Amino acid sequence: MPEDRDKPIVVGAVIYDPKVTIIWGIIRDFFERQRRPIEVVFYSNYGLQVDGLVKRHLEVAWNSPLAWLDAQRRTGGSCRAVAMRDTDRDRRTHLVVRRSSGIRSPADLKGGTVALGAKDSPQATLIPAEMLRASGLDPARDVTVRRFDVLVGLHGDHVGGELDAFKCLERGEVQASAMLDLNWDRWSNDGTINAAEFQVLASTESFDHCNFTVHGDFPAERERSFLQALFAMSYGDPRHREMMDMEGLKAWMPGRTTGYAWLSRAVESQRFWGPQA
Amino acid sequence: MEPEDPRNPTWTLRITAGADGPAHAHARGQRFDVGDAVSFDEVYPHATALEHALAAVGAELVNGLRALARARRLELDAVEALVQGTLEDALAHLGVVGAAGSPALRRVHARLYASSLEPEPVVRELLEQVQARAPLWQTLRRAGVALSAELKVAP
Repeated sequence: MPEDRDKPIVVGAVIYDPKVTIIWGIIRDFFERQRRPIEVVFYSNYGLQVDGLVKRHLEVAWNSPLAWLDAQRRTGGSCRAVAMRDTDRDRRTHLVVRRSSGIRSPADLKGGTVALGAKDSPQATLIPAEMLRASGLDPARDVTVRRFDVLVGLHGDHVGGELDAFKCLERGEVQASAMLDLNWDRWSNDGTINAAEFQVLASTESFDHCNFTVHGDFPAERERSFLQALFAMSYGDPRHREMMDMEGLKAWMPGRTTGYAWLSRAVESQRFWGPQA
Repeated sequence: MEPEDPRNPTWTLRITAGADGPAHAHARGQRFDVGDAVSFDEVYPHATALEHALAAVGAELVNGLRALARARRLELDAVEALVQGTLEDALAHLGVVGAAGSPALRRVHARLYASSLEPEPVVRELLEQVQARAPLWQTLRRAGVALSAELKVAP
């Protein structure tokens, strides 16, 4: 039976700021013009959005990396990541220290304090804690972790936790703080971070960030039309550029799941989902 | 329907909306446009219903101050209000799943600047009287909105 293209695809998105609804309104209008209507349902946190996906209130979820793992965990690994931004690929988290601190490697942080972001932030907490572990430091024993739980439930989408962690480093209360490479670049450029005073001590292995998640049995024709419309967005087209700048990408890419290994290890070793997981 | 009490008249406005664009409000012979209830878009091209409401609160205060000063033959050259309003839960207005709060106004703060040669306590006392007589200000107060006003007087 041919797909009913008039029936909107229901897409979920988490809102960390009401302004985020503006970009989704623009994306919805773009899909409308592509004759692939979508209906966007907003969620206040990723837990509820994954609930919505698992219960099939949603067909497509714009998931954080942690929400992706959660969806996989709750569906027996049957979900698929069908698309992501170019900027979701190969991200890194930096551990930042004062240049004058004398700290030359993560091992030098032993006995010190490290500022991390929200407890559910892959980039600002889970992955950097795993990096410390991989560097031979037990985050529970060898270093003191000072966490900045800003807007827990948003998986670090809100950069407040990372920024508070850095401010804590700036005040000299900790020896290092963790932040996503994109935030290091942005804050170094806009003067939030004085790069003459602070430097990157070490970086994590690369990892991937958000993706559009669907159930394994998402109808092929609906998936094809969704992706066809999505991939029609072109940074070379001035009509699309503003929308893509707002969403922070230059191109949509096929989804891949090879970039979630570090986060997967992190949630396991940190028992993020609890003992029953 | 009860006969109208001439001491307490009712104001009637007609508001129309087409398929797109702002609503058009008609009050007596006046017409003005009102956009969406709320907008989070800096470049949204219409004043929203919430902005109209906050503007109305500010206008009550500045127009009220000016009128009362004139009635008391006090000198008030200019007056300006900066009005800020915050909702209890903006996400509730957007229908976000999991937003459990209310989209009601939580607080309204008005900062007033008056240019006057009168002593500041005199202008402040005027403002208190204006607030006491202002329908919207009193309605919001009764509704439990956190209302506050600060006044700066300069010659």
